[in-house]
Amino acid sequence: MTDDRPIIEAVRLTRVYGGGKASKKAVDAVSLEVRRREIVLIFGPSGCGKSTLLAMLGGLDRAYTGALKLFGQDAAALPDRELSRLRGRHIGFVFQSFHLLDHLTVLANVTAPSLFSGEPLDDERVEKRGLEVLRRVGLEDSARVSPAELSGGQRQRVALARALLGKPELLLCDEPTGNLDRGTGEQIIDLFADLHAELGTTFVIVTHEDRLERIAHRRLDMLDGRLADGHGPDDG
Amino acid sequence: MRAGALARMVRADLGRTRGPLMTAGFGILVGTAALVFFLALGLGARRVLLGDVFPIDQVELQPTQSSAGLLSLLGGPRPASGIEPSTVDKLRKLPGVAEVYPKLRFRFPSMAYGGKELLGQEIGTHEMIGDGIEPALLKPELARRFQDPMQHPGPECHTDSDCTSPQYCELPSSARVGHCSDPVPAIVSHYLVELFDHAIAPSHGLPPVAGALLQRAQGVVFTMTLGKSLLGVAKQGHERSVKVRVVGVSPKAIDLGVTLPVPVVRRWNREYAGKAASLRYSSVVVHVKSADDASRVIQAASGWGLVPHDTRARDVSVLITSVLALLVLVASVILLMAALNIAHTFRVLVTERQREIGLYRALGASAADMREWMLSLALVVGAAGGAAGAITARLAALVADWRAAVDLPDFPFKPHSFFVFPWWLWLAAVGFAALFALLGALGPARRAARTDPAHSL
Repeated sequence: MTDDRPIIEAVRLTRVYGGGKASKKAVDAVSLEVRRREIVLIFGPSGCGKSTLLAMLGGLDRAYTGALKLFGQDAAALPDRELSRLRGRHIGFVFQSFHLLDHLTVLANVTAPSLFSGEPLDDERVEKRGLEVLRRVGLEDSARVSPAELSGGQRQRVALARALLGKPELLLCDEPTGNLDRGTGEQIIDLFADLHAELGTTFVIVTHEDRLERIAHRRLDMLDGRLADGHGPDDG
Repeated sequence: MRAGALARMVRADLGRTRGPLMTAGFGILVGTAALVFFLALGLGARRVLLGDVFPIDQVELQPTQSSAGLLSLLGGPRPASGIEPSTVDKLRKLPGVAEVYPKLRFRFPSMAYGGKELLGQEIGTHEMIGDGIEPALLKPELARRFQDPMQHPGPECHTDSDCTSPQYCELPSSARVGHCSDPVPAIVSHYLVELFDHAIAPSHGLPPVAGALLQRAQGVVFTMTLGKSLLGVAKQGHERSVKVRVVGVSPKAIDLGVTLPVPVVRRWNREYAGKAASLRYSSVVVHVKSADDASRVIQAASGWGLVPHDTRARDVSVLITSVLALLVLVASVILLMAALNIAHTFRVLVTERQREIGLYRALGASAADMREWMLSLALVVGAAGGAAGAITARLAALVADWRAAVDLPDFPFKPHSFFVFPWWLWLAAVGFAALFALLGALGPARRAARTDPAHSL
């Protein structure tokens, strides 16, 4: 029997920066659900709070009010170590700036998540899995080079491979095509679609580019910290 | 985080941040080297001064030197001096006392000469100092050779020629006939050997005998004259000669003189100084279990009219401890500065790694993982610096010993090495160095743990 519970259940999530008169609501009472196998777009202009929301949904930002459940667990109630392990096992991140470590090889970048899995390191198994995901994104031949030697599109593929290492159920992507030219961006979008079809991975993609709509099941519009399209502070 | 993963991250850091970490570790190296060097020097000084020159594990007690009463000044009886056997028994029963060695000093003048077969010429002293101790207080092998020969007296005699050499005629002043006796066994101290080699032999053009004496002197017979010395003659009895044979070297022997079995000294004291002189001990050496016990024993003994014969051991101990404490303080300040340097280095490191830390957090690392990472790195830098510092100190000590051997003139108890490096000093060096490094990295490690991943990414 499949698990139909939402992967993400957020109720009135609010994130405030600063205090007093200088305080600013980056995210204002956002409620949403994301189900398995969905590709959800969070669409909005720069500064609308979508990256902040993504960080909250990934458990990277815990300074919020409201309720958030990840994989059925109350994220606020989890100690940092448990939330981190949950994030490491079930969630992969893809960033606009790739965030690769140039002092490591491509393969070492891809296998970096294994350092924090809490399980004994099995170098052979980890390397094999690393090469497997690199193969999937078409970069197996670049395993031993530094990311600095790769193009933008290739670096994003490496970042995607890293995100897929642990076979996460959820991928959170923050402007994944933001630093790429059009052609390369299309390739990445196609790769997302292929992975979704092949692995059933759930995607939450933060973007301001319309072209990602072609693979999305749902689009949520965000403006000034609030969600439109039926999800907002008045909807409760 | 698993140890293997942590080790991998630390190894990677040591490679890519080699320069700043080595600089930080150098401070730890210098501080540790200073600490170990000073500690080893202090331990070496303690070993020589408090082990050989002024032993700290024993205290010699003697009767209080009371001033003569008015009656004695007018020719009346002097108060009896010496320590009663019953007082010795009381000392033995005190807590903290390991052993008690009563001593009976010569109460008569004496001279001695001999040593031709050892030194090539006769040497002597016109004022022989000596005392007597119980043979049972020596190690069994030596005690067997240290028995009163008159326990088994030989045939009767009137002169030495009546006896077969090396026996002599033991003929007390008050007796008309004596008994042939083996030479009286004597033990001497290492201190005497050291003094001869480094002070007496050079001034007389004699060869130092050092360890050879310990072997060859055993069995050497010399002649003692009883009842007369440079400073005068005994109150009673007449001058006569006896033979004495050195049978061994022992820390129980009197520093400058000879030590004989106490029954022999008791007998000669009675012959030349009267009955009272044979019944009371001149001092007792009390071996204690710890330095603290020495203070307690001295305090208890003061109630029985006994005072320490020599306080130099404790004075030297206090002096060494004070100087050592000062030097350790200096070394600790150096280590503290090194810890501050570590703190600065790691603060910069954490600031430069904000994005990387945020990334690791996104990949599943917890705040505690980031703290462990920084502290583990500091631990490795500290331990490596500590080990290198300890080795540096050892090498510096070797150089110092070499220069001392070449540049310093010989003096009594000059050691082969001025330093002691016990196994625990090596461990302490690495441990302290690691500790100071950890202290320095605590703040930056906490900062790494508190890095906001959302903000840094």
